[in-house]
Amino acid sequence: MKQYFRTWLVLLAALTLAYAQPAGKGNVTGTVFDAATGRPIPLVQIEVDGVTDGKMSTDTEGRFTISLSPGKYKLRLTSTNHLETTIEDIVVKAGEVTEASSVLQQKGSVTTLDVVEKVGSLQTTAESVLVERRLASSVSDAISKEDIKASTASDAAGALEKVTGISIVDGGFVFVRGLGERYSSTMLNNAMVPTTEPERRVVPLDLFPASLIDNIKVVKTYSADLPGEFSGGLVQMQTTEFPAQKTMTVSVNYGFNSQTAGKRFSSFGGGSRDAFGFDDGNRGLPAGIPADRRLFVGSFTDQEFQQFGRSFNPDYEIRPVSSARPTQTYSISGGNTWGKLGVVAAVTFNNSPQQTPEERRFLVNSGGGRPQVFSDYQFNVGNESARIGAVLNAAYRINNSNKLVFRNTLTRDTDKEARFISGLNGGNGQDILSERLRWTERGLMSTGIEGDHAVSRLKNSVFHWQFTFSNSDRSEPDLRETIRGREPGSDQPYAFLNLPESGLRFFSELKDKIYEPQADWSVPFFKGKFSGLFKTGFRGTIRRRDFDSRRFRFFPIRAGTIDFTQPTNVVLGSNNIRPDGFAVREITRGTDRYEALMDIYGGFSMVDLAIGARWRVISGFRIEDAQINVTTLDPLIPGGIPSFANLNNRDLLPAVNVIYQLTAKQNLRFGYGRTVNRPDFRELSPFEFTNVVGGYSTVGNPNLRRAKIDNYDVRWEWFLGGNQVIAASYFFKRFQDPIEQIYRPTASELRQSFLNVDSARNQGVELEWRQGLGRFNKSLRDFGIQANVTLVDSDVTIPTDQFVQLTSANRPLVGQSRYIFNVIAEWQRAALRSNARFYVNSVSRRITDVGTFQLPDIYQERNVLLDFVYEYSIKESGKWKLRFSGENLNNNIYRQTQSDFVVRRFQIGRTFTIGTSYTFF
Amino acid sequence: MRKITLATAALSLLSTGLVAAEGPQFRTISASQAEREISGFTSVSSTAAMWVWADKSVYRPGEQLTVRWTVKPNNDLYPYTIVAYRQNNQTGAKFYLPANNNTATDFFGNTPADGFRIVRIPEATKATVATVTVPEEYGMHTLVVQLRDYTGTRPVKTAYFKFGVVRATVDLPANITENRTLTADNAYSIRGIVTVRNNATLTIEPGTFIIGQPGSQPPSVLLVANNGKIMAEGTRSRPIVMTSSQPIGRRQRGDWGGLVMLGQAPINDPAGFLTIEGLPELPETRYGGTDANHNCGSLKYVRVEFAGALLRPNEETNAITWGACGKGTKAEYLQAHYGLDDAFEWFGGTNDAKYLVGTYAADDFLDGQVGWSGRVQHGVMVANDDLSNRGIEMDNYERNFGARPLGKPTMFNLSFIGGGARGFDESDSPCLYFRRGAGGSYNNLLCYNWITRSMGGANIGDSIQPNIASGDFSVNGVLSWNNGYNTTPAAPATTDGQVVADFRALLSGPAAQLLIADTLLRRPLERSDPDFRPLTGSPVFRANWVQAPDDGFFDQWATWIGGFGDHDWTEEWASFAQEQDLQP
Repeated sequence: MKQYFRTWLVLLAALTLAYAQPAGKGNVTGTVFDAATGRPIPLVQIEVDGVTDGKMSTDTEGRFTISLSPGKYKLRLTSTNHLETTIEDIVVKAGEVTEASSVLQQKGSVTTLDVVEKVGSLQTTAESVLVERRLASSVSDAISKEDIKASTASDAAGALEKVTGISIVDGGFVFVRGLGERYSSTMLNNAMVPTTEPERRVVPLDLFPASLIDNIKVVKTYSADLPGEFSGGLVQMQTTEFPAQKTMTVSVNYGFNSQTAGKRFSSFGGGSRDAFGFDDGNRGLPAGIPADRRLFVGSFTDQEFQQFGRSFNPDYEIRPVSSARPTQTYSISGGNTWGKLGVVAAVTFNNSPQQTPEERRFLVNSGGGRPQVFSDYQFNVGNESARIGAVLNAAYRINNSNKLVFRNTLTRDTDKEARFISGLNGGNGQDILSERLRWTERGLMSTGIEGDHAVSRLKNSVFHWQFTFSNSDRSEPDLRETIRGREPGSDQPYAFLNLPESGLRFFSELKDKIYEPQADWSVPFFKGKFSGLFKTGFRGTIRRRDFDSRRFRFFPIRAGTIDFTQPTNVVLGSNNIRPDGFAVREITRGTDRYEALMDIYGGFSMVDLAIGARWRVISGFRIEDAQINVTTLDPLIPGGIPSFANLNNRDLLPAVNVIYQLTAKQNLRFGYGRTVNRPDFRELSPFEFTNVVGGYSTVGNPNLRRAKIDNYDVRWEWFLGGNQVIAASYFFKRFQDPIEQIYRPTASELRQSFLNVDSARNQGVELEWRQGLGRFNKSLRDFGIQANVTLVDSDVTIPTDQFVQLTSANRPLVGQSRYIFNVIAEWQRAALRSNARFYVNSVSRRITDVGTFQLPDIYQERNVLLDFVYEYSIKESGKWKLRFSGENLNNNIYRQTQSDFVVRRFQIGRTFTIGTSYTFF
Repeated sequence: MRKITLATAALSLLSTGLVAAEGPQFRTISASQAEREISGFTSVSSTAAMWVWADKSVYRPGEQLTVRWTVKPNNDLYPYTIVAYRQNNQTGAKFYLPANNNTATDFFGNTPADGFRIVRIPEATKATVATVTVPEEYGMHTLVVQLRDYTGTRPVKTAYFKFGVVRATVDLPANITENRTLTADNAYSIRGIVTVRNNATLTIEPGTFIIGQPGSQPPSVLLVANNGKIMAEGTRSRPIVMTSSQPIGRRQRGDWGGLVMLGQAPINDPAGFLTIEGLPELPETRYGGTDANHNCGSLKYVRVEFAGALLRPNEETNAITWGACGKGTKAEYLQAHYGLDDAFEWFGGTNDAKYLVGTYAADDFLDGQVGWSGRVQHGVMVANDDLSNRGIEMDNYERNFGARPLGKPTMFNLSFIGGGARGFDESDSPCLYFRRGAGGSYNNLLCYNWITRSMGGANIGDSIQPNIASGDFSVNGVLSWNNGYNTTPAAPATTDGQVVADFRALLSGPAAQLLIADTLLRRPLERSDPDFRPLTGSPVFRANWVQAPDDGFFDQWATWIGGFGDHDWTEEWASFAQEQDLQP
């Protein structure tokens, strides 16, 4: 990963130097859409003020860019199958870009619409996103670059939180319409991305810095050209688009968290490059530890074990920093077009410390049906995260019919976490102190090349191909944990405890790769009342994962020779690492390593048919062959029993979307699609991990099958012009064999696993309203409001005969909130060069953990988040901006409850950020 | 903790194997002087401690075996003769050392005709008795060193070491699905999980060694599935030994997994069955059901040593684990020695056990949960200063303290000798610890030298008080001494200091069932060669003992507190030597 960075930096520097072009002209740019099908129209002839040079036309994606001297112009758009259209009053200023996107009516269509839409240019991306959405073949919700920029969001996860029906769980995982992250998938630049999380199936969206993202779309109904693993939603992220002209923006932000900045902060000793998120090697497995042999008794002498033991980094203790630094974010982005070549690049760096005290309890059924507290902990977590992201995209326009695009994205995120736990441990009935030092590096690199070729001889059909390679890795070197304890309520000194997590050193490495070739061919057709597009194509998603981990633990051999009440670093210090003191033992299990592959080959055919002016039917089917193999075995462990999971499925997945245009501005949509949900690698491997002492351990189930889902959608949309919209939807989903978390009957520990349960259903309503308030009252013309509400109801049925430990056999899906609402109030006044936004996000209570042994389910209680952003342009041109934001203004109390106990409670503090950005060109 | 100071003088081996002359200085006493001297002793019961060992547990014929011996006189001034021999336990034939032939000699090579040499034991002595060539006599053998009276005929004190002479070490397969008998002329190696299943019975002959291999994952475990059976019936002279493959002196807790027996008797999890974590999940590896009389097999004179490897990151195996075994299961004369987790653990079920020896377990000694309701009589649980937690740790069910059927074991006549050290992963580690809704009847218990206290627990008010009120939980006849000196405030000599408040009322009933008095045992803290029998005048015979119910299981004659009257039932088959005391 590191070498990529160097390459990137060099490229970026070269790019910066390349800014030598004078800026005398301005650009007009836009996309031309088909009014009926919404797809971009390639090869539309463009005439500027009656001047036809014969070469000016839209490209394969319906886009065009024209460089013009300052002045006022008129564009005429002509195309074989469409009515000629003129866009008037296009003002070009030197060094600026003017948007001139448009829609064209088909020649064959008989206009019976009540209102004939005035054809004009679409001024902003927010608006064009809406146009795209209005014309899209499937139900989707999107967030534009403008909205992302205007929000407090620092990453994709934060930005998505404002989208209808979305809630974000655990910082980076998307729940769409109350369906857990296992039911959503993520695409970056139209390619699947591998995850960095061994415990999860989708890529965490907090990995993508907001400044690198152009727009995010959440597709909610299935169409056959999408991968069949789809049910809640498909998050499609697009990185920074090509600029119409040379741009370069630099921004700097400093953030102050009320419970972190300037406060005492839990950290631990590390390397000199920790602040940038790079380990300098001090956390690696010691050089002397053999890589090809396991440290088992009998394989090495006591002296060798002593040597091994002493070679580990002997630091186990949390070391507080007296004053935590503020959050810092620096980013630079720029791009230019040189004739046929367009290049855009962006780099961002962020370092944010966050201190989170937390109360956590575990309950047990005491007998009389009344739960009582079993373990009662105080957590204090100091986490410093360093994130680097970079994008380098280049497009080469061979001619208007042929284009090549290269896209590269790199993100890297490091967490340095010092976790301190104190309190009563019910497992052994004593007060414990646990210190855990954890360093996690996650990286994702995606590189792809794609080409578009419009073939005019073949009825203006477009051939698109793309090959993407993505690589993600996660490295967690040298997790260290120690636990000390004493008799509850006593004033004895705490003494080192020989608990399973105590004296633990855990190393893990995950590598996940996806190779994804895809191609499709689209042929438009026009026959009287029928016009449309026939599309066929294939996508191969070839995924490989390699997970490897090693566990070591320091065991006391003769405890009588050691004073356990000394500080941890002394107890486990090198003087005590000796044959009759502490000895290191490898406790790597046969299941601590797995290799997995998932090969999915899908082919589809679909027809997008406009029937007359009002009806549009998009129907098609997809055939997907999926093969998943997970082999869990550490070959270096004698006697290891390998576990194999093998799934082979061929699925026929039909999809139908029907759009009825009630009026020119109102759509009614119906959608049906059959989709699948496959078990993740992790869920198929018996690898096991425990996060919190006394908490759940999670283990996979090699016998899982894929689930099938039938999805039904209805939506009514009313586009009020500009970026205003009102929409209402109803959805219903029925799951067959859904994979749910369950608890396995074991004696000594709570253990989470996965199982295909009988069935589940999920239904709900979404409402969206986005409008300027000027139409109600002139004095409110500076104000706009965006609001969305989602109501969800779901129900899972668990086979009770097998899982009687579960308290509820019928319950909502884990993670489903009954309602989610977002309100964004906007205020904008050009005269004051100011705009401001106020956000309210509220997510109602949802199940986080399923209750067992007559204990009720655990609920995350309702959260309300209030954010505020104010932006001021120091320069009238808007090139130099000042920005102030406040996040979590109400300092929301996150609470999880079980019965009438609060089992988890924490706050993350208010964060105030001040920043500035300067645009050079 | 007191430590044994051993003579470190280098001992040079004579070619005959006789070392005594060059090694420790035994002062010779004449027979007439000895006769004069012994008139001053009232009883012949040695205070000396001694143990004998070799380099490993099993040998092939032709290998060299070095007999090592440590003796500590503990102020024993009695004039002894010393006799050492190897006995073939198949034939009974004795071969006297140092010459290793069947001519009776004393330790110094004197025949009865020569007259055995009469000596006083010198200060702590470690010696090499002999190096012998292992003969081709397959089966279990015993190395014996005896202190005899001055006439050389009456043994006063005997140390034993069991070893096997085998043709080969045979690897056991992962699955035993047909009846199979393991014979003492071989040793059997376990690597990974060896499962007896499919209605098969594994029979192990007396004197057989089972060798657990370290470094395998899943660990080396002998698992008797709920449709399998084990018949491992040793004898006092030929116990069945399941031990580590490592050389003696270098064996450690957790070298291998241990013995796990699963059955179909009731447990109190609502599912009716549970799985043992870390084992492959098959219907046969579940435990729990409806057959209270399920028979997991029979264990008799079995030692399980150095077990407790990790089944999973958070789960060590116990030396001996019973999961839902029923009344048909037999267990007598079992030793769990140096386990990484508990010595004996019951997960539900109804099975009984008698004559249990738990030594140096890193966790608890008798641990029951998930509703175990068996009976136990006669036992001794010994902690050393390494690691250890609680003597008894009894739960009803961890997940639901009120689960039914209630775990209600009945115990009589057990001695618990603490390590005098803080509990290791449970700092509150008393002799008896009750929690999570525990039920049961605990009687005639002796608690000595536990650092926190004699009796404590958790979740008492909510979950155990109801059982006390309903008569489902009782403790009767407890003799406590020297416990609780590390509690705050330290008060080892008072009830308050030794018993947590919640249980005081229970024990200070009209019969005054709690006695705080010096236990007066013979040699309870001499770890490598203890003697837990009472001295004359010991309070174990006082009236606080409780008569066990006459239900056919409990021996009515055990009219004392603790595991021992005057008879040492651990002699010969059990082994107490601490590993650090078995260095060459």
